[in-house]
This record gives sequence, C-alpha cells and structure tokens, in this order.
Amino acid sequence: MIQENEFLTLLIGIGLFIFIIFNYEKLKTLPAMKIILVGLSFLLIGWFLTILEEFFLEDLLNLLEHLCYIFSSIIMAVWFWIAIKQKEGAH
Amino acid sequence: MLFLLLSRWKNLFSIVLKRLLLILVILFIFHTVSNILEWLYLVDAADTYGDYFQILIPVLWIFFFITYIQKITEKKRTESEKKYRHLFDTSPYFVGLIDTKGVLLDCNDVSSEILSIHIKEDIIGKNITEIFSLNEKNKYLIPIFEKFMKNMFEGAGTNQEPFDFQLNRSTGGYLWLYIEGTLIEIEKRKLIQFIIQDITERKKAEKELLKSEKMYREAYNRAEFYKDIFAHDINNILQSILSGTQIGQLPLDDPEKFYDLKLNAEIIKEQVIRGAKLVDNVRKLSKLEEAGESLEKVDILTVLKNTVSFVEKSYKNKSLTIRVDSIEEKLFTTANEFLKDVFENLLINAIRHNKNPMIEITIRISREQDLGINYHKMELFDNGIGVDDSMKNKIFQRGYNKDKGVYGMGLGLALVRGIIETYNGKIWVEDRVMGDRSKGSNFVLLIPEVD
Repeated sequence: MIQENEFLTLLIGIGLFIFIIFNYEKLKTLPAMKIILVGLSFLLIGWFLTILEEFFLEDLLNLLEHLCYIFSSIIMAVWFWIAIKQKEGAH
Repeated sequence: MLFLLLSRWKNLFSIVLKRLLLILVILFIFHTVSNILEWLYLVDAADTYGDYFQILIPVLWIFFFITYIQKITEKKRTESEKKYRHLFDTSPYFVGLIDTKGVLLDCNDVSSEILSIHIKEDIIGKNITEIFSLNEKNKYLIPIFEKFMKNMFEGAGTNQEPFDFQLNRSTGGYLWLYIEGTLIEIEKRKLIQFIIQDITERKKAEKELLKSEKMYREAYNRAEFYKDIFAHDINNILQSILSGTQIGQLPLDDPEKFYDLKLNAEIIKEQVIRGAKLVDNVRKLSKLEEAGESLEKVDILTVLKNTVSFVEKSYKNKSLTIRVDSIEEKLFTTANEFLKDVFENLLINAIRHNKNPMIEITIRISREQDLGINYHKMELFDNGIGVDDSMKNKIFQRGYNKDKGVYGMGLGLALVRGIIETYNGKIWVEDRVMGDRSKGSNFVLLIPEVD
C-alpha cells in the first residue's frame, strides 16, 4: 500500500528537480553544485523506490532504497565538507 | 514585497542559508539513522520519524535554493550598484538627479567645486531655486532652469537642447558651463539626470581665437589699404612730378615759358610734400596700430597753443584768426607726441576747406561727463565749406580720398580718429550752425580728463 507521506515526498522531490532545472543557471554558482545534484538524485531515486517496493520486489527495492539514502547522506556530507573548505579558502 | 523587505537586512540571507543548511544536515542525520535502525529492525518507531522528516527534506531544499538565488541576485544588484555608483562619484563632470518639483535628489562631489559649497549634502534635498539663490548674481538662472525642466518633463526629454550658461561664483569670477539632460524613469518616477561640464577654458580659447581672427583680418585689411595707397596715391604723386619735369624741359630763355617753369617747380614741390606727408601719416598710422605706444600726462593747452603758433606761421599768406577759449589754465590728459598731429590736422583742414577771405577758427574748451567718465570737450568751430551729413562719418574712414590737397591724401582724419581712440577719446563732426552746413563745421573732441 502506497503511503501518503511517501507519495507526497516523491511529488515534492520531483518539484524540487523541476525547480533546479528552471533555475540551474543561477544555482550552478553554488559550490560543488554537481555533487548536490548527485546526492539529491540518490534521494529522489530512494523516494521513487519506496513507492515501487509496494508493487514488486519489496525486499530488493527496500534495500536499494535505503542504500540510496545512505549514499545520498554520504554525498551530502562530502558536499558540506567541500563547501566549508571552499568558503575557508575564499576567506 | 518579502524579498524587498529581506533585501534590506544585511547578511540575512547568509544567516538563513546557514540555518537551513544546519536543519538539513540534522534532518539527514536523523533520516539516515532512522532508516538504518528500521532496516536493522531495531526501532519500530523509526517509521514515524521517517514520515515527518521525509516530507520536510525536499521542501527545505527548495527553500534553501530559493534563498540562495535571492542572495546571489541581491549580491549582483549590490555589485552593479557599486559599479555605477563609482562611475557617478568619480565622474569629472557634475552629475545629478532632479525630480519633477525641481528638488535635487542626488549629485556627485564635483558639485562642491562648481557651486563653491563645502559638501554636496549642503544642496541635496534642496530645490534648484534655493540652490541658485545662494548667490544673488545667479538668480537670473532660475527661470532658465524652470523652462529647462518644463521642456524635459513635457517633451519627454526630446525638445530640450543642451545649452551653455554662466555661473557666478561666490569666491569671485564665473564659470562657463554646458548642461545636458536626459529624462529617466525609476520605479515609475520621472526624473531628470543632468550632466554639467565646465567649459570655461574652451570659451576662453574661443574668445582668443576670435580675437586672433579679428587681428588677422585687421592686419590683412591694413596690408590691403597700404597696398592701395602705394598703388594709387603714390602713383598720382609720381605722375604729377613726371608731368612737371616734362614741362620743365622747355627752353629757359622764353619769358612766358619761364613763368610756366616756375609754376611747374611749385607743382613738383607740392607733390613731393604730399608724398612726404603721406609717408609720414602711414608711418604714424602703423605705429598707432602696433602695441606699445606709451601714454603720459600731458597739458592739452600747451600742445594746442604750440600747434596754433605753428599753423599761423605756416599760413602767413592767409587772413587767419585762431582763438582759444578756455576757462582753465591747465588741462591734463594722458597722451603722446601724436596729440599735436591731431590739432595740426584739424586746423589745417579748417584752413584748406575754407573759401572765405577771412578764415575764423574758434576753439572752445569745456568739461563733459559721459557714462561716468570726465572728459575735456574741445570744439573746433570754423567758417569753412562744412561737411555734408552723408559724409560726416566717411571722412574719418581710411581710404576716403575726396581730399586731393597738399596734405594727408585723405588719411589725415583717419589718423586723427585713430590717435584720439588710443587716448580712449571720441571725435565727430557737427554743423557749426545746426542744420546749415554752409556756415561751417564744428569738430568735437572728447579727451579723458586726468588730475
């Protein structure tokens, strides 16, 4: 059964990516923007998988879902570290 | 509206961004931990955490990105403002903004130099009427600028040409300025942006150029004039001398022809004197036109009396009466050696242009004031043939050659006027009896008085 919160999260996540696409010219000035995109992409895939697991391959997709969350978190942590380093370098 | 409010708070975006980032980091940690725990089936309630945090994550990311975009937009706007502000502040011209009511909204520091004020803040916020009223002598500019503004606002800036104007400085002197205006619109508000340029040096250069041009033209005219004299007048003299010598080749033993010989000798002598006088007048005229003839304090009466004596001696063969009427014994002015030429020319003209058996000349001296300057007024009345009204100005011009007599070749009165003008005086001719030129002339001289 699809959970409401998961569905909403996916929709807002898609909305987030649409927002990024339309404002990419301005957002690309963010430090290591490509790393953020990779992290967010894993997050979106995770949200997508959490919906899909309700229909088939529950265990596998659940595993993949959580792996995506882990990768996303690691990538975000890396991005955060790079952003701080760049800021320190700029100062 | 929110953006505008936020944009006024310094560093707000940075603070918001930092906090958002912190929230996101915390959320990620919680989300990761709760998923790991859920995955490991350690915590059932982890799902509940996931429910809350999951929705917030993309929302917060969107909020984070929006805030970032606003920050960089604000940064670009500030940089752009800084760039153009720098151009505005460091412009060598006086640049400013006026609104529809004539209030000066902003200007750069050049204003203090041009308007002789301490700082630009002294005039920002003031109406142009008030600004020009700071110096009484600049009040005449108020209607000019009111018209300028009216033309700018009504004609959408298209029917107001740039123009020059003179601004009097409170420190003394004046500046020539050139103003150009443009109509602009900022946040639906019409404003005039003006640029004022100091063109004082340019005006000075233009004036010098005009002066040079005038001097060049005068020099050219002089050269042409002297060329005409030598081409025409000298030629006449030489022709007369030649005629005389040709007649003089007749045999001397013929008594009748002897008389002719004597007459011819007189004619030749006369022509030579004419030539000498012409050369002398030309020399004096050119000397007058050169700079550097120094003037000194001179007693007019002494010079006049000496000249009268000389003329009386020169014309012993004529019945001549010259009378000088002056209340005072001494009359001083600043003049030079040419003053005697003035009197000599006038007296000789009065004698030569007189057909009466008895020549009467009266010189009356009085005082006159004109435009605040005190003058000695000398009136030379004669009972000669007079001067026609149409000729009263022409006789003082160079090249006027009606006079074919012994002296001057028509240069005499031009020389007289030239000399009097170097003394800052004036000369003109009237009828001795108003309206009847046949009764003679009255040559009037005004010579500045000195103590």
